[in-house]
Amino acid sequence: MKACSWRRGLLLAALAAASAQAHAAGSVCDDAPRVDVVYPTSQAVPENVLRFYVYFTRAMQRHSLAASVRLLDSNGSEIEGAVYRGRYELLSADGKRLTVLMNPGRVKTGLDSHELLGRAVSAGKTFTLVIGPEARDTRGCPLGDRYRKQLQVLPARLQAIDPEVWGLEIPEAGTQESVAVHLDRPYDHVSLYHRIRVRDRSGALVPGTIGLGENEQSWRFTPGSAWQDSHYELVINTLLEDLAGNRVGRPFEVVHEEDASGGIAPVREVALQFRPGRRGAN
Amino acid sequence: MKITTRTLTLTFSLFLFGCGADTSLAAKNPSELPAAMTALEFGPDATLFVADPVRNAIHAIDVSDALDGRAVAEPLAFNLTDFGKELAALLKVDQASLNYYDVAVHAPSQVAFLSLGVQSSDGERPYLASVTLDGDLEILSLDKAERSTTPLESPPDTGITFMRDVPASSLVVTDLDYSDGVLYVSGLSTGEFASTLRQIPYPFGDEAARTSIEMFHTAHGQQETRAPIRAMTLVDIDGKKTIVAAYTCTPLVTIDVDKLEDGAHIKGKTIAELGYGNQPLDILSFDVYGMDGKAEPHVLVINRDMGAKLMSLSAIADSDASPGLSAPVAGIGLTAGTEHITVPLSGVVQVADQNPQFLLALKRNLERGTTELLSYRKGSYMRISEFQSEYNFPDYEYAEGQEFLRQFQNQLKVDEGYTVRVRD
Repeated sequence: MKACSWRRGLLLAALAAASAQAHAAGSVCDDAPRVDVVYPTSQAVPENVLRFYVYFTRAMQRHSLAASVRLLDSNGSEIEGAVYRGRYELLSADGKRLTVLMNPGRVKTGLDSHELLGRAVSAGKTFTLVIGPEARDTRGCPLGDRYRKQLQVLPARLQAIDPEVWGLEIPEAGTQESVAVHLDRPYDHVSLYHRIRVRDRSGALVPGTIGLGENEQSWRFTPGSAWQDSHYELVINTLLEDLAGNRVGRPFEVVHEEDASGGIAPVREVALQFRPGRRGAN
Repeated sequence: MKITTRTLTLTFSLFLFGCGADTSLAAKNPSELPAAMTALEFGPDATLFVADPVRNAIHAIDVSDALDGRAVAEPLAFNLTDFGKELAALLKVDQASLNYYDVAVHAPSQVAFLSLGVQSSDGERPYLASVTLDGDLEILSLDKAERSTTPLESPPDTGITFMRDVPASSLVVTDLDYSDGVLYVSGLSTGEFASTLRQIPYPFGDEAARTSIEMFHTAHGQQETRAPIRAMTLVDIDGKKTIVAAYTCTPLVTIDVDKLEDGAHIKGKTIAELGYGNQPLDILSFDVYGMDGKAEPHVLVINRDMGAKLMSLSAIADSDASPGLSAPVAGIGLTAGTEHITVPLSGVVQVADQNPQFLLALKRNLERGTTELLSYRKGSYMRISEFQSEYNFPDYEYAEGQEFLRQFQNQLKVDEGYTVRVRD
């Protein structure tokens, strides 16, 4: 544990130095970085929620982020060991998105940390995600306002994803109306943006724009040009995840099968067919 | 410690690239220069692999220039107690603004390389530093070095836009290992939760030749997990190339390399539980010479939150041949599986295999608050100067049965340069 405290000490020293440099530069911090949005955007998450994504308005310092993230219980006490601390921060290439991974050992039943400490958050309770001013942008400027997001905790979500239960809102042929998918639960927003696509009858990717609905519980695609009176496919990569890491056809938790040679589905795609309607037709 | 005179110009050019400034030099090849440097691993000859989390790529950099044709046959030790101070002076920055990422040693020349970032109000600038056994320190000029780059992610779909800017999952590399023309890359995704292990043939080339593999391991309570590999090493178990991987908190897993196929999903075997509440930093495999002078291969797991764990490769092979752990190991301080011992190598930022006699550790000195670059003798895993003991008293008399101890302590004193303290 000595190594840990040392790291923190050095980190604080580094932050102090960066701060001094930023202040010395005068008005450089007028436009302080802020938390733009946190995903999931919902006010409630399952107790086995796997991660949060924090979007900042500016590119952030990789080293300043670990110390800035805290989970507080309903009494305002920090929940120790709730968040995964790695060797390198899970920061997007543009420096603006931090992935806050819940300690997988505590999310997963049967693992040492879970058995000893339980899940970090439990159903029926509330907790608060806090991003503090330890977070600094690449100029050395601290977060303008402390960010707090209070969340209700729902029961664990343990079921695999089954796209067959989704509801499709089919557009009209000859229009650029959106095709909308009403999902059965909130999903991981990165997954929704990157793991679902529309293909035409020839298998070609249809260009267009993807948007998400409230609480990431619906997916909407607006084509770049009008729909043909033809068949299309909504193609879903089985890596698609909900908030708890459950995937298409495979829950996050799988009891080990005795047959070591099988039982693990390869990554693949599943497709939902649709055909844009014709106005006036039933 | 000698400071090279050409450093200032090299530092300046790196500064320009680090900030992405629009200069003719930066514009020449902007996509190829590292934008950040973290995990390091030596490949063939003088090729250093460098993970770049900003470009989401691996660079292969020829560091021949920094080697100056050196060849060191004798296994010598690094004793650079003022390393952090000297490096900060060379870069003309405060020590607190240095962020260290990794250490690797070029074996034939015994030159150590460090990836680091310098934090300033302009952002973090990446640097690659080299240091010799004598403490000659240099900052490498990457724009002049031969290098090639391979991306870690597929290019984004063309023609698809988003209502808001949502970067795809990227891979934060946790460890690199090179063997027989293949670079093994373990990483943690920023998005979908999967432990990913890739094999990238080197020289970099055909993208289709690489594989992406999800790793599952049978963990406690008979659950499969998609936990991230934190550190790994490649070993040979009875002619079978095997990855030994450590996960958080801290199960140890073996994976048969022959089973890694394009797109395959494989299960590793949990062979040991080394302790809870810990992040493994690295795994090293090397030979340790016993009392009889015979070399025996060992594996050492370097940890952030506890002492390093040492085990023989034969013990790992025995575990690998067994069914593996399947019962929960849930209890404070409990360990299970492969027989291992704890050695006093701790408080380290990173450790690299240096030569047949030594490991090289980048280490924080807890008393002085300094950053040190120190060698640790394999077999002892300690520095004699870090302990005050009665053996150091001038009037201490070694007893008859302590001859081995006397010789061993004398050896450790020579390692650290305290030849005047050698005791008869």
